[in-house]
Amino acid sequence: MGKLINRYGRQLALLATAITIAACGKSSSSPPPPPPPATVAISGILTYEFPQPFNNCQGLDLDNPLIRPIRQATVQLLDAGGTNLLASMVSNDSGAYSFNVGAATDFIIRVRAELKSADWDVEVRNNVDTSGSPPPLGQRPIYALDFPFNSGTSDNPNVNPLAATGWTGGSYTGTRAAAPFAILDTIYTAMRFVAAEDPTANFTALDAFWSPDNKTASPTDLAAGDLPTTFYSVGASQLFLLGLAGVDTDEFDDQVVVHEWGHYFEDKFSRTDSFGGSHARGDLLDSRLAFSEGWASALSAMSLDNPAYCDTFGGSSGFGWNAESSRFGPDGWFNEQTVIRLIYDLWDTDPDIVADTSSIGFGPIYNVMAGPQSTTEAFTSIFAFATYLKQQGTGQDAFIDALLTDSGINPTGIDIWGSTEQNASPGTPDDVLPVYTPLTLGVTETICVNSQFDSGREGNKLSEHRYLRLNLASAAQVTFSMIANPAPSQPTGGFDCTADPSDPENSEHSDPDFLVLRNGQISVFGWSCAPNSEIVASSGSLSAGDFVIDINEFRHEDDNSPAGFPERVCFDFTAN
Amino acid sequence: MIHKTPNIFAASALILVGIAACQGSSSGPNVTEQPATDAGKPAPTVADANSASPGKPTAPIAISYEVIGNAIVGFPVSINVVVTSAAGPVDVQYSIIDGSALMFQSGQVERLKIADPSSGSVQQLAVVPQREGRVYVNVSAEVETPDGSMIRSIAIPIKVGSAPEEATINGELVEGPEGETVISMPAQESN
Repeated sequence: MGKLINRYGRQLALLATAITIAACGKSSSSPPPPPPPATVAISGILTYEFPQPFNNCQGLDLDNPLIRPIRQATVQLLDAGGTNLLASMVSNDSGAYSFNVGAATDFIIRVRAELKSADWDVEVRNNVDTSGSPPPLGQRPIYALDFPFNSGTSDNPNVNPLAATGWTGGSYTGTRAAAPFAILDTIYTAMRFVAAEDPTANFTALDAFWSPDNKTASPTDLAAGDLPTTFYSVGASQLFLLGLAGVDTDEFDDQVVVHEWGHYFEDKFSRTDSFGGSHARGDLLDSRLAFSEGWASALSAMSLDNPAYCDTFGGSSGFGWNAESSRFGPDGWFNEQTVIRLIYDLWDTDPDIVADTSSIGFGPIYNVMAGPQSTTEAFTSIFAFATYLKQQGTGQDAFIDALLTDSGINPTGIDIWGSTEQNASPGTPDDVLPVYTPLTLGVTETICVNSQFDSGREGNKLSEHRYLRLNLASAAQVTFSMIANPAPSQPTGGFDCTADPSDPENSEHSDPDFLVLRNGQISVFGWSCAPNSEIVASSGSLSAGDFVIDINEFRHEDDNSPAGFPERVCFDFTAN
Repeated sequence: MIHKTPNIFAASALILVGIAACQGSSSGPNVTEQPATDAGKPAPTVADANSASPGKPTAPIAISYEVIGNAIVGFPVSINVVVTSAAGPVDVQYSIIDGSALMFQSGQVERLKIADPSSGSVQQLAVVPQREGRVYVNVSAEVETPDGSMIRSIAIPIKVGSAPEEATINGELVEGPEGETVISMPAQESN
């Protein structure tokens, strides 16, 4: 019915007017006013408030927010009760929308915090539900901006709903309506950046979760808003953002939002072998973590066209860096700040350093990430990325090499294995190089892991995981053996690590673990709690080709490990 | 129980244990049957399995805590807070957002400087719950680095009694046209 009115209402109104004039034409008095139209056109611009960070990221300027359009969001026309959907459309990139509605009628304009098209599906929802029986995350309430209005009796092009921050007089006193739309629009910017390079890119559905109750707390309880931090949940395609005022809010920290979206990109368009863990600027990290984190931050700088990363906290605090210029900790393949700067300088056109003489644009970078990086035989690191980049035929190998050199990475003969790398970080510490130790069937290699760079039992720092590389000339069943040599301690007689979870001896002895992977997929794993050794045979044959092996000492990431457990533990590793 | 600054890897372990326990031979012909991993040991991560990203970059500060004993309304509860950083002296601030839920014990220092947190500095914090439910005290730690100050904040949850925590809805829960629940946030009118 509504569509019928919209379609013929104007004609009926004009006809009614004409009839009225004709009927009254011979009278000597003033003609009666025309009847009100049956429908009117309502339109306007949808906007949200976006506060920017102060200089040096010391808080947000909430008193002077920018006004930005709500782009490509679902806009609904509802009846006054909000129970009937009368019309729906999508706002354009200027935030414009329009409806033809019945005149002099109450309606609600509802703007859903979602982006829906053939190419993407993003929703911003609330993860917090303290009912005791929360629905699955994907069914928790979506945010929407509601604007009740009366349509009046004439067209109105200035119906402009605004999602406000809720900040007045120094605190949040109102509904924080802008937050979900800031998150949505930032993700839209990132998607547009990728789509500009690849118009065929199809973005897997993504749910972003935000709540004013979301805070960093332990243990994690998503329904209570207790998050490890702002993070992306791989595989689940869910992004979680902090929002507790006065402590840490991330909805307006657009670089933080895109950083996590960068992990979504790795998940859906590329591949990452990073196993995560806490990481701070300047840390010497496992190469996979360093690359993944560097990539995500570089992507935020590129897509937002802003090298200034800001993470604001409650009040007037925060921190950040500049992707273009910040150097923090020793440069190298193990430093996420190095990776940020390297990738950003490959892309940008600002010649800020001697080595930054050109730009390759986002195309080759995207082609590597969505192409060979996603299927590499090696682990996903800067070595694989740079090697594949030089194979893209940009004609800019000299430029790429210069940036690598500036980053403390050896460009000469670079390959996906880092075979020619000589930078083990300052002081040339033990147990860093070679990046991959070659392993031959039947030959025992002694290789040591070292928690020298890990002060917090995170287990993700440089040299805590060591890599081996095994090439099988033909398919074979293989037994992998990892034996502590020397063993830091010996278990008591009859000790069984699976017998009693509360036995403190469970956390006393070396606990070697390993993964055997092929193109990022686990083929064999030795993950038991057995002290001092791990021996596992593949079930069936492993196919011919290259395998990478990741070994580590579980005690280095176990909070219950004794304080005196050695930093350095060596293992005899054999594949038979 | 000691809680350290949330580790994404550990947080995702609870999700992954189930996956690992079920992997066995059903994950593919080359995966060896494994005995169940011991409690508290994260299962091996796979690039395409459910796991969490490391989270946003943080300051070089680790914060862990242990709530001592049970929290009762009106009675002080002690918390051991451990702040660790290799980056130098750390300024620590305790704060309570909801004063109706929690208060500092009289005399509690709310700001302090730890001169040498490299080995983990244990600080005593005492708060007094004002109601049942889940209440929080916040710990923020700031360190100076060559690139400026960096901060890390966590909220320490304290369970008091049996009442559930009340969530902030940020709007009104309404039923949408298709029966779904929507959080309706009021719009202002832009000029």
